[in-house]
Amino acid sequence: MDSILRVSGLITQLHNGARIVDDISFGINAGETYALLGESGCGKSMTALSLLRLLPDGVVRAGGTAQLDGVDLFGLRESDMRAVRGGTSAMIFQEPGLSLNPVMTVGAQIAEVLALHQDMRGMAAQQRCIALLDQVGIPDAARRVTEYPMQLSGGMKQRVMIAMALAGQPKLLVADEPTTALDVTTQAQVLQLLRDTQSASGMSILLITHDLGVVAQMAHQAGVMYAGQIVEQASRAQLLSRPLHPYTQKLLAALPDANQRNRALAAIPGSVPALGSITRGCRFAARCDQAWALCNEQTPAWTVLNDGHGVRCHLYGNTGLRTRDLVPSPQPPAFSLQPPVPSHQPSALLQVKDLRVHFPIRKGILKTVVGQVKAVDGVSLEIPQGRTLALVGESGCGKTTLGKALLQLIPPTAGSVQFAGHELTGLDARKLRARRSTMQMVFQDPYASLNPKMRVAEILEEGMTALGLHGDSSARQSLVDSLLDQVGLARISKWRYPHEFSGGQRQRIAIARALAVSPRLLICDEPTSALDVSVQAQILNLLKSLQQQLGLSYLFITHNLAVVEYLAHEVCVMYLGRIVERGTAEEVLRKPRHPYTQALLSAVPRIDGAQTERIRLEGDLPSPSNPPPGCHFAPRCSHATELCRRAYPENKMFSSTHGAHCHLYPDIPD
Amino acid sequence: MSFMPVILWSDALVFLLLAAGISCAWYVRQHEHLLLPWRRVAQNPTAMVSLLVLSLFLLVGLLDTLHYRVLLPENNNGQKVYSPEVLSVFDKLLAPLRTHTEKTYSAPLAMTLYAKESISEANGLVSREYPRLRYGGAHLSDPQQRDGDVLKRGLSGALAGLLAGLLIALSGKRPLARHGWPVRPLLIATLIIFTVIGMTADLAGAYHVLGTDKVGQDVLYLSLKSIRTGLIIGTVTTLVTLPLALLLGIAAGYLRGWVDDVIQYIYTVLSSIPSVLLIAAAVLMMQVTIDTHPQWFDTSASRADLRLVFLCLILGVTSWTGLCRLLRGETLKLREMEYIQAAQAFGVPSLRILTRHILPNVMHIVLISLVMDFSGLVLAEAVLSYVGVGVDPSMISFGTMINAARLEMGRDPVVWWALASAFGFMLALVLAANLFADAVRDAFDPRLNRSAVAA
Repeated sequence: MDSILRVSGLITQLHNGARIVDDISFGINAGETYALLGESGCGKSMTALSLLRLLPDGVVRAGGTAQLDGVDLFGLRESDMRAVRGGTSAMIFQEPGLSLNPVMTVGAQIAEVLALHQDMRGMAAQQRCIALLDQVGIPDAARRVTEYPMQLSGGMKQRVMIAMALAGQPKLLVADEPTTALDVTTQAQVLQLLRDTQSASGMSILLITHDLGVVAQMAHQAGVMYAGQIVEQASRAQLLSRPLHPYTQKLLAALPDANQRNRALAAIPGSVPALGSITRGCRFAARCDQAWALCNEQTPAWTVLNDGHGVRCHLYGNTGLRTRDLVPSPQPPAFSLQPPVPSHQPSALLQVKDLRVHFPIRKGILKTVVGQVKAVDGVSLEIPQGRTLALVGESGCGKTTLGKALLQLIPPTAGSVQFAGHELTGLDARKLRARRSTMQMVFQDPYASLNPKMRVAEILEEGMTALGLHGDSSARQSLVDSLLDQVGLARISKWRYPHEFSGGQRQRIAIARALAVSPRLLICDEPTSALDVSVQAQILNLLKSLQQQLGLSYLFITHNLAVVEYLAHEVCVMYLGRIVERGTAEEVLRKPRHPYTQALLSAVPRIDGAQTERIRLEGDLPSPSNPPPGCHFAPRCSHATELCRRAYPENKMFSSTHGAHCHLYPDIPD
Repeated sequence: MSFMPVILWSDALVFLLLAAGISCAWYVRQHEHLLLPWRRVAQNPTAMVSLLVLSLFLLVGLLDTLHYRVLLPENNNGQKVYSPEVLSVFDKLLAPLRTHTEKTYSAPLAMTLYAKESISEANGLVSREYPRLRYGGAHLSDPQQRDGDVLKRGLSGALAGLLAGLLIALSGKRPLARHGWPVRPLLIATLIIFTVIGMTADLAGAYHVLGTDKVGQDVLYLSLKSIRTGLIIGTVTTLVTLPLALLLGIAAGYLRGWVDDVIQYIYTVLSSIPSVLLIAAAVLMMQVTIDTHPQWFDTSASRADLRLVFLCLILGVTSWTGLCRLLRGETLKLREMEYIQAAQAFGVPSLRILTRHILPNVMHIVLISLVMDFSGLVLAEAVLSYVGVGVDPSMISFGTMINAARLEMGRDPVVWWALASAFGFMLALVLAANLFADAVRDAFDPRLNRSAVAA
């Protein structure tokens, strides 16, 4: 088969000699997608930037060759290289909001590419822009071409980026985490678009991702990167059904889902080693439970099995010393199947009734209120002791605002929040402080949630000091020690600063900080979305075991349905400030009733290949300042009727716990 | 005691700043994460050479800050009487330079005055010629010997300086290298500086190296004395700006609402008043007050000093708005950070959030802007003194030197040395401060230091 890109022996390193990309070789066939999979810090993006010769300062390519469509990329002059970038190869980036120039119209940015690589100007370029935008599925392309990036949603911006990439008619598209910053429904749209474009134009795609689900949907071939090396390379089917390298096996096992509900996830201990820290032996050996002495002494060679499946591991190598039998990794310990709560129905720990958070929109000199952004619009929910309620929805639906309103970080406009029978809304600061210790929050971004200028001990002590808990400072210090034990960090680390920790360790510190005041409810706002899969598994395990030990309740705010399946007892699906469906995890995820829930579930990329029929959601989330009349979901719903556009549906109950706001279902008499 | 130590207002403020600086440095040494950017500064050759130059200026300024009054031999009914003249340790060290005043202008290294004068000789004849200086080159009988003497003194002084520099450089080499500091550039800079100092010192013993001014004062002495004024203007002003800008800036950014509105109105109004007018009005008012209350001051130095302190004050009042605006913006960004919200969720009081969470995270901005402002303030003093609303005319400063030299720029032949030395010293000071500030900013800028860890 003719390969469009052939990379061999690529080495990229820092000036001090630490190798970021260490001897990588792979090829991409014409019209195929090659996925480069791995955790952050493994050198995936640097590989792509090396190929396009766009490395940042301080990083240099130190060896290797790359042939793109028969042209030696590293032998070109810089002026010729410019014809390659955007011409034969194009790149799209992770953050669509940052990759478009905010002061140029969409059309002008695409026309720039056309003028450079297709020598197309004036009306012809304008026509081509519109055609391209049409091709990437932007509605009303003729109008959009004159708009500015800020007028577009995130998904639209990524489509424009793809249109720009397509403008040069590239043979190779380098997509660096193209959907990581997008919602699951938008991700499904963009992935579909990439597949359609590929089958129409026959271009190849180098897809960089950390998401096994994306690999399962997109890739023909896949390479798994670890610490700068490709450790396994195979076709998609081979990789997913029969992963060889222990790292790949672990990555697959670390994915949370419903089948593992009652046991701990197979987390990979530790984190990716620092650049250039390992020069001898297998780089994964320290985290591998199948490693033996040889793994630390000798760097494993690249072994290709009969079926073309390549792997860099002593388990399969013909090292002559010992070839071990494949030992199935031990099953992770099971959590007790016993529900952590007593069997009698407990009274709700947190009871929220008709909570509303509206932000006024002010205009003019007099700042008159011209409208309301209804971020949270009449939400009611209950969380019993020791249970987990997952709040699911796309970004912008008001999940985080709801979480902060519960903590009274944002004052609610109306409604009531009762914690263990005590009303929290409308309390003054002093009375509220007395209740603060009962409810705490774990934030999304572990890099922004810890003050970089405070040591771990100070961070953990802050809440206790502010709330006047746990007596004197020596008592607090011993509590800090036991908290660090509880979240699995060394006691010595309390004298260190946050920047010395990895993302997963920082999230552990954030959890310990919340636990320091002995709360009964934790509001977890996407606590794992900024983390790698293997680290996500560590954190989920930690949260689950803490629930077992301490009887904590969780409000788990997330958009990741796999995490919901693994962790949640009950699920609420939120759309535009309102809860559209609620029920136990089993009910909502197995028998979704609301079309929105169904669409969300079908958009999740599955790795088992059992792809359900996709329900495509058209368009984007409407603005909460101007919600559509009737059912908010009606404009995007394929089942919508006239009634849906007129009246907001009542809650229909399907069981004592499962209900949805939808006109599709007839009123069920009690 | 044969002297009485005098602490002027500005001296007290300098000591205060010094104490604050030392305690800050000590605090930074205890905290690894604070020390980290300074390590980067220490590895930057430009920064360290600038720091070397700056610390020499600082040394001169500090020596010039230790003031005292000499006990006079006569006493008043058994009471000790001190000289009305306030001197500094620096004046004492450079006593020859201070006391060796000529009649009027003389060029650098000259043996005669700059203009011809009528001299009546013993036989009654009046001739017009260049009179010999009282001190400059007075040890030579024949003016022809001057060039050889200058060369000899210059070389011997340079050699002595070079040796002293070498001694210091070699003894400091090993500890420097151990800390990973740039040894070679520092070594070269030390040698050059010591050579220049040695040469100047040896020549200054017999000549006026940079000439004399209108009333015959040594220009080198004037330039060195100006350093203290410049440093005080550059640093004491920050004592005024810093609390205002810090407190108001982070309070406006964090508390928002009406507090933000009020603070914004204040600094918007303040920054739209022409600052030179405001300073002129305030300084003139102060001058009137000083003149009508002579009983407040026992020496003329303390009178001039009060005006200097007041100038710092008024400069501070007009220059805090920039930093305040910067800090407000940064705080607006910080208050949305999740660790602030985590603290709010614990019910941590606002004041504690401001001091524990926001203040430490804006300190790098404060530091950068202070170092950057320093050079601007030194220049501002020169401009204000030139306009006539700066320091007291009796106080030696770059501004008064320039102001005095300005009138002579029009005459022929031109008296260029006073202006040139003020220019040269100011350039060295401000350039060193600017280069150092650049290095500090780079070291504290996370975006510039990320490339090393990018992966």
